[in-house]
Amino acid sequence: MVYSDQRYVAELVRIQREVVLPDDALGKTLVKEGQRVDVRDKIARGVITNKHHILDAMSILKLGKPQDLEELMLVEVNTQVDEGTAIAGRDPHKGRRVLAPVAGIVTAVVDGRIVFQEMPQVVTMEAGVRGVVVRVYPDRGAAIEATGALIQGVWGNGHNVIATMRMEPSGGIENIQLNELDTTYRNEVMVTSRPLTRTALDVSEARGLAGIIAPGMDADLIPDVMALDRAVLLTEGFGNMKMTPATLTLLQSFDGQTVTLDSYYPQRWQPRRPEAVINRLSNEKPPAPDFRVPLKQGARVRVSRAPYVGQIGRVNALPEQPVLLPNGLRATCAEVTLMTGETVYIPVANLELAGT
Amino acid sequence: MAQNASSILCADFGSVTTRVVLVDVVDGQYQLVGQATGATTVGYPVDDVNVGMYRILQDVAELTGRTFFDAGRRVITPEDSNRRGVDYFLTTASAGRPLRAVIVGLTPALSVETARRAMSAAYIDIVDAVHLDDERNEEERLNTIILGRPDLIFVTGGTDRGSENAVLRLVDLVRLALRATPEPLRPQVIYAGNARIAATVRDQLGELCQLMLVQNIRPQADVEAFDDVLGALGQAYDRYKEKYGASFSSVADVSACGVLPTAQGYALAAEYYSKLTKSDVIAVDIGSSSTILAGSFKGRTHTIVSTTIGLGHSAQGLIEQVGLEAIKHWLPFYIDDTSVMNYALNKAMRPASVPMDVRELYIEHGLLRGAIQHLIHQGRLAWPELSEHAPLTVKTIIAGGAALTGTGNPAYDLLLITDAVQPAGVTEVKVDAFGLIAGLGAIATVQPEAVVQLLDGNNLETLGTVIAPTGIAPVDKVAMSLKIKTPDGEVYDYDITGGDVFLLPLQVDASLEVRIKLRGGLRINGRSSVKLVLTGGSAGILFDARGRAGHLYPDDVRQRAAQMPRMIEAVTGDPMNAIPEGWLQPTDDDGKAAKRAERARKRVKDQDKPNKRDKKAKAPAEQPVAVGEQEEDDLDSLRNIID
Repeated sequence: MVYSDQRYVAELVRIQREVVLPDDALGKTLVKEGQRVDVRDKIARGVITNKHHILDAMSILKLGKPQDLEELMLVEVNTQVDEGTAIAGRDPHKGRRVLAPVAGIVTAVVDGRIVFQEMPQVVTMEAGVRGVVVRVYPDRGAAIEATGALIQGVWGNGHNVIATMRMEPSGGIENIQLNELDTTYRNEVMVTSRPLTRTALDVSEARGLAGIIAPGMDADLIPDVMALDRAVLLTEGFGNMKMTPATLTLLQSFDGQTVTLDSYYPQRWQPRRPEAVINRLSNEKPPAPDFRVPLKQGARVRVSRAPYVGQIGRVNALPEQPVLLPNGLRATCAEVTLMTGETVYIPVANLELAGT
Repeated sequence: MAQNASSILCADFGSVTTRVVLVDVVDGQYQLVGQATGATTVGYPVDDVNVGMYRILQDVAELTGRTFFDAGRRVITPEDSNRRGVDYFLTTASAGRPLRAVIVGLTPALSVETARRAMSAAYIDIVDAVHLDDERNEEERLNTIILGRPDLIFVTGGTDRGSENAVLRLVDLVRLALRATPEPLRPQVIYAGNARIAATVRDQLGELCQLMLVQNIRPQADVEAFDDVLGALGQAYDRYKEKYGASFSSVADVSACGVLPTAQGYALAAEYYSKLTKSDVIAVDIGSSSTILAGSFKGRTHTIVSTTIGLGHSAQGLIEQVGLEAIKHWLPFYIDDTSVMNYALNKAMRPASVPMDVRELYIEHGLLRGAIQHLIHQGRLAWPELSEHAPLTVKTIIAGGAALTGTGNPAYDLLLITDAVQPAGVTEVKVDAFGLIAGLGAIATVQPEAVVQLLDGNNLETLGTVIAPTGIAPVDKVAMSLKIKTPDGEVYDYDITGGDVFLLPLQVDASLEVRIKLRGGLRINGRSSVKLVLTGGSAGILFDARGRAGHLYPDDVRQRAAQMPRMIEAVTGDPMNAIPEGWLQPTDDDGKAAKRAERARKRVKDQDKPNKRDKKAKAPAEQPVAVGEQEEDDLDSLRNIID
């Protein structure tokens, strides 16, 4: 059996979202299983190690031996202090003292030296959706279940935003006037069906957009997009990509609604995708995405590679023998009829399940 | 384990593909009896290796009629009397994030460099190195270690009779770093330095972390010893996988060897074939996230594992390491840099996908060829048995991975491997169609004799033989004249033009006698005329008349556009895909690259020109140089003496 990749673009689905701290953070989970959470609720909080200082207490306090330092410590290890606070000395207010060079934490006392960490970076993970905590990962985070529309993308620039989503005007983002006094579109997430360009980025900055959902862009724009302080999510990939009709239609149907744009920057080893989520209430519990569904006859698929990239079709057959492709490769393929009416052979590795 | 243990099930988890092989004793010999592949379920969306593994084991079970699981979906070990389960279940992996390491050593040129070499065969990202010559103060070194967020700190330095105090200073630094790190986040530590202070190191660090004390990797100034440390690195990798690859921990519990690095199998295979054939062997596998190159030369085996060069997850890293020009040189069309990057980024996001059109296939194969040549160049610099520029003469190439062995046409695979590795002389090419090699490293830990028997048997597919003379191929003239004699006495003559290749289909068990006359400066094993008896393979015999004195394909894009499709057609027999004229218009990037190349050529040319001023200078040979007077530069002094 063949199991294809899946990339969800669904109008109403049970969304299961894992919200966890980065690997190098130590922290706590702040919610319990079964708890209802809202978009901005904090799920986990942690700290990431920061720069350390070595304070030569023996030298500063003119001690004879390292062990002498222990009785002169004025704060305990793992105590947080402000800049200038006396950490060690005979008198906390005068005389020879070891002072905290910056606000931070006394981390260790070793052989007459004090190891001091600048205030660690605090990381807080927000829910990002309105839903219910269905699973807690101790000290790491939780999994939240919600219902709504889900659009999974392929790339993001690492920012999160919750804002009103707006379709681009008919002329596209690039034709929006660079009038900073015009507050239309300010703090909104704009959807464009065209590849992102430098002009579009300039417009987004000038008009104060909160984020952009675009089908794609050229790789040479990455430094500019990463430097933005607004969220960018690509739905298709890099290059001259068009948004698939199904994705565009779905986004259009939610024009004016609140979207959570999680423009996750893909890491090689992390099981996450950038996503746009629109919370929706539902009387029924819609199905959860099933990632264990094999590719079968009749499956609705999306093609992920040129020359049919982005096109939707249905699987007619799954030949057992490899098929000779026009470029000379022989690959295990599915016979697919595209929405254009054309029937083609597509390598199964180039198909994503697109839902029913 | 039972003395009569025989059945071994090996699962190798690549970043994209999981390969499972079942090995058992048949007629007294270990043989491959079943295999299957499928998607690795690490990362989005499932992130549980057991899911993919279970699916694939079901496929093997169907093929072989055996049962591997109990009711709880755990692999049954050992095999019971009803032939349910297997005697050994073993796992290897190259999937997932590589282990991050910081090296702590005395000097960059010795201890740190040796440490890098020791770790080059493992799935490790060396994020930084701290040493006494690094111009950092103690605090900066401490932060280098802590903020590098390593999974492993590798401490080395001092020969066994050498520095102690300097090494202990470094150990003290590591102790500070460990004390400053919360216990759940503390890295493992391997100490592989001066053995005389190992006990002190244990006293300093033993209670703070998982510490492994191994033999000094540099026990004497001119001796490197890696046998001990490689085992420790394997253990470190296994523990790291259990800790951070949550689903790997359940697999490791059942595996008799934990989770070993895939690369071990390639080193073992290269070493075995080298001993068997008493000649040099290269093994190569380019995957989605990493690439393995193992070489066994004159009794010594080396491995390089690059965790940042691959054709899927690491495609972007591949370009950053290898360089765009090195890739574009393999393309028979002009292309701007952005388009190549776009391709790599899209491939990184969909690593399992395959190119469907001609243009993308050339880009994919350009990445492949560029990457393997890059690693071979690294091998040339690091492995003492190889020289930087001499042709690569190896008797056997073993290739693995879908990219190198999965075009679907054995002849195309053979051409790709030949282009990527560029062997010279007479080279047999074997491919691992079943994913067996990955398991060999693990099998060796439980049943070493099985490794020998599996490699002795026909479990690696023989693709064919490559005949590639060294030297510069004559252009548009006959370079190789063949006289082919079949077993039933028929004789055929065939000429190959310089710059071309010719594939002679010859089945695996068939053999032919071939006399080859070489023209121009071409040579095989130093001779211009050779007689060879060659056996076949699934592709046959590839005669490569492109020479080995530069790039295999012309520098000119249009010439490449004419040659490459023709060569593929000649080898594969598939209809030629001519390069459209629209692809042969230079881009802005090509214009800039050409200008850069021209400027570089001009600089070299100008350096060679004698300075006009120097020609006129007379040599004041007997005139003393006054103290304090500005000295002439060395070159002028030489010229003056000669004049």
